[in-house]
Amino acid sequence: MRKIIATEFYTLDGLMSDPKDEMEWVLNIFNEEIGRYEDDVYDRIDTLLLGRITYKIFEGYWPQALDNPSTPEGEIELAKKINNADKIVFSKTLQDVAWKNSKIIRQINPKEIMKIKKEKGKDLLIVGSASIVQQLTNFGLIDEYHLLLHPVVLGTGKALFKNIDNRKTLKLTGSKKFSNGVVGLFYE
Amino acid sequence: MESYWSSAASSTENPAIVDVMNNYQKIVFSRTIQESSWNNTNFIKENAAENISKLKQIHGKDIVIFGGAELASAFIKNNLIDEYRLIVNPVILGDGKALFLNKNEQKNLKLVELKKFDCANVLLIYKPV
Repeated sequence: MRKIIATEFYTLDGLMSDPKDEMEWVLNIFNEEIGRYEDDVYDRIDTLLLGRITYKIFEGYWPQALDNPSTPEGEIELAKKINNADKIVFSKTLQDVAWKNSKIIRQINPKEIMKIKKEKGKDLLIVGSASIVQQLTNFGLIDEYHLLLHPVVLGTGKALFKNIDNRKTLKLTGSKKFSNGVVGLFYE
Repeated sequence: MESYWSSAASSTENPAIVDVMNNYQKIVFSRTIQESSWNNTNFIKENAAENISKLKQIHGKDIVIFGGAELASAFIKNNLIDEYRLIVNPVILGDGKALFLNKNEQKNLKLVELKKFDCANVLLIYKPV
């Protein structure tokens, strides 16, 4: 069965974005090593599961990235993978999607998600999208959590984990120290 | 801590550190508690930051803060912490008491060490930048 992987960049105070939904603290220290982690995880998947906010950020960046001369060399392959992947955006309000291979699903229905997991294909990836992570965690549908803990305390922002129905104990499968001070914590 | 480490049970359950806990100097920050029956316990009622700054200048070994998000956050705010030792448990709580309480105050730290324990806890050691 296809797995659902959640890859989350977050801070020491458990936040995944600042109040403006920006992630300057990620860009400030982003390096090739983190890029390689991303390349590897995108190799495993063919579908992205996104919330509206993350979807809009991606839609505003990745479709143009291939034509944009300022796109870093190292991002070209990633841009191809992301553009070619299927994108499912969960939103009650989003009117339409302009990005190729994208579709809107209005509501998270665990049966529907299970059906997708049972379809043929590569794994599925959630990037950011805290509300989607929370809902799928409550349904017990996430198979792998990749938490990239950044060495920063933000003070204010959006929590990665809230509205969790039942305390959840995970299994630590690996950890990695990146040279820029990020710690990768891998759980199932 | 006072009731546990003063009890007989602590000697049998935690023989390795019972003497340390009882003999080391303890400083309690409180506006309401002023006395303790626990060996080597002192109190700081006010000006916590100032008093700790002074204490750091005095000759002696290092000082550790145990728990207490409010106290830790007051120390963080005043840049009094030289090393952070965070233990990440493999549990999603979703709600509860936060460790870092100072709002609107971004702080960058430097990762010094990562240690993975068999119990799936991860120890992360950071220093201020």
